[in-house]
Amino acid sequence: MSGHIPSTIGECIMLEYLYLEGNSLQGIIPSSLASLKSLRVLDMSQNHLSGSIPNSLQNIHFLEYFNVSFNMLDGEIPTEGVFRNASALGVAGNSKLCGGISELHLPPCPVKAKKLEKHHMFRLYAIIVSAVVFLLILSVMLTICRMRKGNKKPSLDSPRIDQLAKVSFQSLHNGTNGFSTTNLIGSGNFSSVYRGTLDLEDKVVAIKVLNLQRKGAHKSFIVECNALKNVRHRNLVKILTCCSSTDYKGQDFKALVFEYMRNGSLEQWLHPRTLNTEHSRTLSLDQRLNIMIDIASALHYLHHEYEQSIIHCDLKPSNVLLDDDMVAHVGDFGIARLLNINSTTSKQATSTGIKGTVGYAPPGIM
Amino acid sequence: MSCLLLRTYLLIKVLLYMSEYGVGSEVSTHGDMYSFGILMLEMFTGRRPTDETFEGGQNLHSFVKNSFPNNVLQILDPSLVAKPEQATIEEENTQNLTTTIEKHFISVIRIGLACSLESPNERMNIVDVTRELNKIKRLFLLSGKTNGK
Repeated sequence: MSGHIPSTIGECIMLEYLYLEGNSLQGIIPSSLASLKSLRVLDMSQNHLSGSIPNSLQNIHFLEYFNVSFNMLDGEIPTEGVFRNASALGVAGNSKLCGGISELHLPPCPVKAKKLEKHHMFRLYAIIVSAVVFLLILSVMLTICRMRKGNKKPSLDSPRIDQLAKVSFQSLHNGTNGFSTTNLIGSGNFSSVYRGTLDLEDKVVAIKVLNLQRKGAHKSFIVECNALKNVRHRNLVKILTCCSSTDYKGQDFKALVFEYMRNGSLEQWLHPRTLNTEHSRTLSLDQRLNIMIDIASALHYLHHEYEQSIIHCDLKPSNVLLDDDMVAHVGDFGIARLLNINSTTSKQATSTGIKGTVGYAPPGIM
Repeated sequence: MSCLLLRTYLLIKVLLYMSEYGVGSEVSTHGDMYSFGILMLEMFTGRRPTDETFEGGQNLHSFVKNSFPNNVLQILDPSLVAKPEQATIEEENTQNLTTTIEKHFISVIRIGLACSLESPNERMNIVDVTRELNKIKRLFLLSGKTNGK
């Protein structure tokens, strides 16, 4: 015999013995065989049958003998009904069959081959979605925790600003001719810098007045005060005093007073054409090397020598100031970060909002 | 199922890493080193990192790297390169001078490049930078003395 086993065979419901062995039958085993409820023997060995053994065959109660050896069947062998009894089974000679009861000694089926039923897929999706949602919530909570920690620090540190000797609004106002534009020597993100003098001394100073209308200016004042109040290094700008009071209109006024740097910023020296200043000279190789060494030793001090690690976060030519002897002083700590060495071995902190300057900030920050 | 577990585990690890280091808002000493490196390159090439001539994803670091180390003299700040030519020293000496000066430039630019690497952990740290810069300065002063006389 050749050809397929007709699926209409399921209509012969009285059939008890079906011997089809040793033919050239092709195609699949029709699942309609399961409707042969009184079937006792089913022998389809030594044919060319392919496909898998229908699961429904395990529901034939009276089936005592089942033989499909030497075919080209594949897939999983069922484990119930007649398939529970290894002596009633003939499955040899089908290299791709797998699973079944352990007595058959066939390899277990790969997970992939198992057809995932629809509700299984839904369950899988549900697990994935809930895991992702859970992790998102977790990460959001962690970030909030961290932000809170970060916000607490400055408020603990802020009273220490008081340790600096203070100066009144009036004396700063007088020392700069009422903050006249002729004394304006620079302006940054949160502040304007004026040249001026202090009451008692003739010494020229630089007064950094914070523009408190700008969001973040107040924070930058506190950060800079905290960063600079205790630092002592020949290559950092020296803070002389600060002023935190109200102006004549009764509005908040905050200012920092620094040593005045007569030779201006490195920016003015490197790119003289963009700023029409009196500096027309250029820096020699020798001077440039010295300035880089100055900046490097300032960073070395901030990162390693000071009690807390200080990260400047905005190092650029306009924040490097040159004194009478062309010694470089790093300034503008408005967005600096203080790191507690004890708590962070990796020397990292998370910033909240304010970034550095385009071009100088490391990739990933901007 | 084990595949799914593995994926979930990896996802958790990635998310924990992100929350720990605050990806996107990371601040570390490496960040300052990047700015220092860029400042160093700007100092000796005279070009801003925001120079308009950089195009197609090029930046100061890649611009310098392209000419390093063989064509370093071409990218230096013109006011630095002009100097040895102006000096009226005999031709032999001038050539000696340029080669030794070129060596200094190469070592300086090398530090600038090593500090401005994209990967934070590969950047040079400030301890090494200070040591190297001081070494270059000593050599520079030495060569200045021997060549000047």
